[in-house]
Amino acid sequence: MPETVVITGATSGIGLALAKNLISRGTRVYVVGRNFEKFSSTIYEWCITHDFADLCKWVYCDFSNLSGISEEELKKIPQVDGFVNCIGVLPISPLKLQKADDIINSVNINLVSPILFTRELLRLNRIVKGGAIVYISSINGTKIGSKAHAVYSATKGGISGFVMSLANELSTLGVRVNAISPGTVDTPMLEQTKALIGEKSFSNYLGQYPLGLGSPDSLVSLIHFLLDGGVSSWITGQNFVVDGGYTLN
Amino acid sequence: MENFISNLLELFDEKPSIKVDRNTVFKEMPGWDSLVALSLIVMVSNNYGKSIDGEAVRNCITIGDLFGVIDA
Repeated sequence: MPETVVITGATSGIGLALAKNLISRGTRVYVVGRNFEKFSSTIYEWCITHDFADLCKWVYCDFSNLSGISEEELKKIPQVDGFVNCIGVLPISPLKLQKADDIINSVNINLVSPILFTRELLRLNRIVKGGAIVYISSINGTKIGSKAHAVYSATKGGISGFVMSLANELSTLGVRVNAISPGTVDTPMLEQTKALIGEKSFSNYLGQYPLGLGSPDSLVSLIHFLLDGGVSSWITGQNFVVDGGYTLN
Repeated sequence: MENFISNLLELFDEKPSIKVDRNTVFKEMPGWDSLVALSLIVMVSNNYGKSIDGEAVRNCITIGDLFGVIDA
């Protein structure tokens, strides 16, 4: 059972579900993000309501800005048993219509900043020996390539490649590094897809999922398993597809 | 309208060889597919600042219908 974990993207979707799960089991969670108001109104408000406020801490980092990761803020994070990167954006557009700023922003948030953040955690010796790192990737860029998702796929494919090499590099420390590639999960990010293609098309799309739409809780147990060195100590450098059977077809 | 048609034609990988005007049934244009439909949605957002979805595109028949949605 991890005692202390750092999570990015913990104010919504998968990250929020994970943070609640870990905190309710007694894990101290450091929530990394740029919007303190959102932190206060989501995970921290939940913690206060459930009497877990002392297990939830805030660390400011702006992943959209490559200079937004400050050593001063990161030093607030003690040595941790795990780091889970849940932050991400989903830019949907045919590539030829995609604005350069949007491409760069997506790559920064989804790929470069998680790499830089990981580097800083390692440089500041913030991950204990035997700890674990989990990155949320996607079936897009690792198993499939959906139209209008080229940039998103590039970032997620990048994360998966990064995981393999980093896992090898950190093996001497006993730090395990893995990725999880979800299919479509019911999170706020999904609203963008629904808004673009409309309800009917979205419903048809969901029909391709043998087990239906995923929920953030669909992933939490696996993340917890990968963080727990007591049960996953020999698993590293892997990409776990969790997609309700979508890629079977 | 002419500007809109010009922008629409840019979305196709190959410019349709047929004559295109406001009465053209856009879904029957050579090369029309789901990617062009998505491109249309993005183009309308980028160029006209309007938000339309797949449902709106599906409910239109002609290029004139599309323009009517955007011009509304």
